[in-house]
Amino acid sequence: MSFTTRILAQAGPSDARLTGADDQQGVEPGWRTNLFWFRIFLFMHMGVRSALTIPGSDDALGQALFGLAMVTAAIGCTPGFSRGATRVAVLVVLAQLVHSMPDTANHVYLEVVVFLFLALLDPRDGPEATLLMQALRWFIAIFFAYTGIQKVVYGYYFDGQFLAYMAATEDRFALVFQYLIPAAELERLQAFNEVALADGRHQVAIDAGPYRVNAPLFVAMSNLVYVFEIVAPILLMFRRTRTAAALSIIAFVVLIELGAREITFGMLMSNLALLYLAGPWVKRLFPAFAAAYLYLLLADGGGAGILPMFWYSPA
Amino acid sequence: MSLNIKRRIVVVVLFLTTAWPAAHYFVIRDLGLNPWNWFGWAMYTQPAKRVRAHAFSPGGASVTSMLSTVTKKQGDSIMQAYVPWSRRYLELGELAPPDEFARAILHVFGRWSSVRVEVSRFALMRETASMGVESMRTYNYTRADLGL
Repeated sequence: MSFTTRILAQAGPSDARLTGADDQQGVEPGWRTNLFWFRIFLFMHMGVRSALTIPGSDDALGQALFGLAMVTAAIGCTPGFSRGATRVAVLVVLAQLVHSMPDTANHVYLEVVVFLFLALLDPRDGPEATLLMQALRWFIAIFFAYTGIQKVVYGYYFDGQFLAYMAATEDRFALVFQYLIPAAELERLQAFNEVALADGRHQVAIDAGPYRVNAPLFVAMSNLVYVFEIVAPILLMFRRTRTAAALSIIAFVVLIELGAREITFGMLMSNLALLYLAGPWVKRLFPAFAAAYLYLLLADGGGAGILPMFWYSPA
Repeated sequence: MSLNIKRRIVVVVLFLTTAWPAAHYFVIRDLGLNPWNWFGWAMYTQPAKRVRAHAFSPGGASVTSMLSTVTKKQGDSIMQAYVPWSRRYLELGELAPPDEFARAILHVFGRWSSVRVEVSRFALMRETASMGVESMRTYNYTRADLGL
């Protein structure tokens, strides 16, 4: 077994040709079912994400790409056409990515890479399906670890400065952190938001601060964020800790979304983490995710406003 | 395409997705790009930055102080150039010099032979935990530079 094959297999499942454990009866039952349903989920995600960010009428190319994305998503969700649609999806999402530059969200890059793997490798073919799952699992671990490494590199979590700033300037974060920051401290931080904008909002002055919080629990939690983001992907690489790590990542994403409220990213991330679980959990939870996306479409898709929108924060 | 070739492609893609975020920090820092973007997984690492630009005539007079000498429409045309540029600057940093802003100013102040634009970028400073000036840069434009 080559070095790269051995490294890729570390994320599981094992290489089918070497172990024979490539199907539902193997050491990780249900992983091929997960791959099948994950692909459908990803097309659904692409369609909803595009529908929630429809370009204005002055952006003809953006609208054309939106139309293409919706058609591709619909075809991709149709059994028998998914394989061809993934190849088109790589190009469509890549075009959306380039078109929205420089303000392209990281999860669009993530979509491109995941679609690229799905287009390259056929989930119906045993060895290719194994390699596909390994590639996806490694990619998840790499980007999740980097979210923690980058927080260490930038250094705004050691004393809680970043989260204190967010709690001071954005209500969605204040709502979450009010339980960890004493009321007087939060009030002091929010007092820095003194510059009134024309639209009624307030923003911090250009010399505001310091955003240091006298709340040990809050600072400890701030440090726990990057520690978890670095340690959890390592635990994903070992069979004994894989399930616990994947579940804790999903719980972590839910906690983050309480503040960030970027629900579409949260759902994508959760489904990627589900790929690490034994058992067809992507399939089992698919109806719940589909219902959530349907809600988002009815609440916010193309400004529909059919249902009231709450909690969700358009990215 | 054989499985071996596909495996190599997977390894290359995974290598790139590992290598690029490591370089991301330095590229972002040197060019002043927005760290939340550009595929580096550095979202939620630091608060959004702010930008302010002050423009001056060849004699050193501030454009802000001279806006009262021009019509509202002319003043608006300067702001219409400033706002989109300042947003772009927060994303692209040094890759988005204030050319359009300077052009709008020289268009309004037709007798000026040049304009100086001082751009300050504000960020939450790691050491002090307060907002402060992260970088300052001066751009000098003549009419010829802007094709006017």
